[in-house]
Amino acid sequence: MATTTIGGRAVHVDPEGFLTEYGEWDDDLARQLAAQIGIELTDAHWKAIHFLREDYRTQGETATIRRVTTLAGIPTKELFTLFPKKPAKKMAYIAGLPKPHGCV
Amino acid sequence: MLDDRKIALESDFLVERIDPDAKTLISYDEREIPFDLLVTVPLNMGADYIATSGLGNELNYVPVDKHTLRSRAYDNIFAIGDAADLPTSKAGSVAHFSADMFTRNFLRYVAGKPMTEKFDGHANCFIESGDGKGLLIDFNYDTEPLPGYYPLPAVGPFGLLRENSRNHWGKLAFRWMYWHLLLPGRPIPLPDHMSMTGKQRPAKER
Repeated sequence: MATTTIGGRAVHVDPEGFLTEYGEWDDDLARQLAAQIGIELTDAHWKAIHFLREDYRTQGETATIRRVTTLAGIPTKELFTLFPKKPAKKMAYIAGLPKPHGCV
Repeated sequence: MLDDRKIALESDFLVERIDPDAKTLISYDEREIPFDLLVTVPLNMGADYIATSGLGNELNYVPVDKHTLRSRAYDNIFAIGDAADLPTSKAGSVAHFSADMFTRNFLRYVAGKPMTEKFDGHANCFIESGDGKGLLIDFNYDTEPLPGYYPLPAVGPFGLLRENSRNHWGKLAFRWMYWHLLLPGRPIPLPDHMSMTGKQRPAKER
């Protein structure tokens, strides 16, 4: 597995840059990851990111958009505003979780 | 193939609403796509009784271990077929291949023995492409559909991820297999685990 340096720290990533080690993530790293894709984290972003982190810890899978809207109560429209164009992928990237997978 | 048929692909497009008067699809991020004829697939959800049972997730599927189909919440509950939240297609092939493995595993489980088999997410399906031709794809949790031959390497008879008339005839033959072999539960000579034999990996991944 490849390593890369983000914010002066070496982390393990997959070929697309998604973190592969759950334990290597913290809030500071999230800010760096967000900055890499042009997002500045606000309280609204943190609510989604922390939900994803907690959900992954118990479920072992990256939450779907549907799951975030239903369980964290953040409307889809808002997710598209917070994480433009590709909310599922961008949230997972910032939260240091595996890229959500489609069916094929 | 999409270029040949002048088919445009708009990815990551989540439909927020449809304007039937303007004949337009509108996404959550305000992109608009006009249409003459709309064919759309609604959100695929599990059965209502799974929601009322309290076992379901936000899509009414029972969260299970993706290799054994055992509920992640209750050790004595298993969910098969479209009731489970396996992270792959809700396809007949998935239900079939996973059930093959599940039967052997479950018999061991009720005999008090450890479950030794793991479902790999194996799925395959024909895709009709028109003009008497079709494609066949074969994949699992970890391996995307790759070109090659199925079920036997080099001789097939079916070509994977390529369009030809043989795949279309295979689809028609499968209609018979479905009713006369699969539904009555007769064994079919196909392994339930996906095989890399006969598949060609793209050069960059080698």
